[in-house]
Amino acid sequence: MLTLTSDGTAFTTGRTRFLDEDPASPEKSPKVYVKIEPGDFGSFVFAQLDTGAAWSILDSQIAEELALFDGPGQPITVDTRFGPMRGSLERTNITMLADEGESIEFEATVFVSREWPAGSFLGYAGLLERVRFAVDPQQNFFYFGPC
Amino acid sequence: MPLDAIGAFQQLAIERDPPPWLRREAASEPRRRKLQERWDVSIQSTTPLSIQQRLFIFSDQLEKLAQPVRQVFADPDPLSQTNLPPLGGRPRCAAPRALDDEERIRENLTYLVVRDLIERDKVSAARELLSGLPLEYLGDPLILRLLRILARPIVKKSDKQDTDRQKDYAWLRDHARDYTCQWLALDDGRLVAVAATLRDIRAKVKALRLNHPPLLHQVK
Repeated sequence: MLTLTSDGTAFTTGRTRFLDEDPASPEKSPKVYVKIEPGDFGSFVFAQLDTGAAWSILDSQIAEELALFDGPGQPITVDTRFGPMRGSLERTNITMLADEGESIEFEATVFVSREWPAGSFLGYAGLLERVRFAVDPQQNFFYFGPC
Repeated sequence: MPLDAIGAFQQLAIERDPPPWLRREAASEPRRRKLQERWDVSIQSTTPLSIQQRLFIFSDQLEKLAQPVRQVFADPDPLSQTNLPPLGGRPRCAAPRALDDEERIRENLTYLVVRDLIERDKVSAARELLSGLPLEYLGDPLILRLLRILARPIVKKSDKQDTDRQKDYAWLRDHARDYTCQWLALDDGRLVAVAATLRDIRAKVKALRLNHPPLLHQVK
């Protein structure tokens, strides 16, 4: 079933199988890594779902490849688990990829910083706030759709 | 007299002759009330805020002001209302009138307050504050930049599609830790490229001319 419904109307329209841990990371608590394509990257990468984060963060090498460090966005300092991080909020396109059903593309706001040492994260403001989603932890399915 | 940012904003509106936009707002009780409500809602729903604690002293202690506000006093070009560099070749004008100063201070204070809210993850409050601004504020490049990055995401259906990557996930579980600090490219359960940087692995993948996009992953 690709489309979850609520009162007969579509709630989500795509489905992907997520990875529930970074295999090489010493941190073994379960996570939800979904596949995204940043911009027109031509390749897919993982991003960790983080509904508790105010902003999405792009891996610094991905941000570099997308030329986001030279973007016209808003410089800010963000408090992170690695300490205060200087960077900027930029608008960019990100596609959340479905294995079945429909993928969705965002024009989203993401935080980018040359100092950021971790990978990519999908946060609430500027990105997940316009996504309906549901998680099936038994099958590792992530259902999603626009709202 | 020291003023907090919000107090300064409000006092600027009542101390002297009100600027044109405020005069228009004041002429309409519903509009005035709406503006007031928006400010109150923004402030009350997000306390405590540093903007209520930070002191701004306008006239005699400029050095204590944040850089964007100092710039208002330093930049005599009335078309450059922000801390952006002035446009090259444009003749610089004489110092602006007091009313211009008020407008520009207010716009820059708004910028500072919104930036402060963003840095404290008060995204809804920042949006609320910006949505209550009069149209005149939209001429300021800094305010426009804030509006752009605070805009809600635009979502649409995409024609791009991936396939079930269970084989790739299994490969990562079994082998990824052998490639610490490397970028890996996987396709159909096979490792197709390895490189130290994302740029290098993208170049290698491009040369492979794969039928569909590979999955890239950096082993941290």
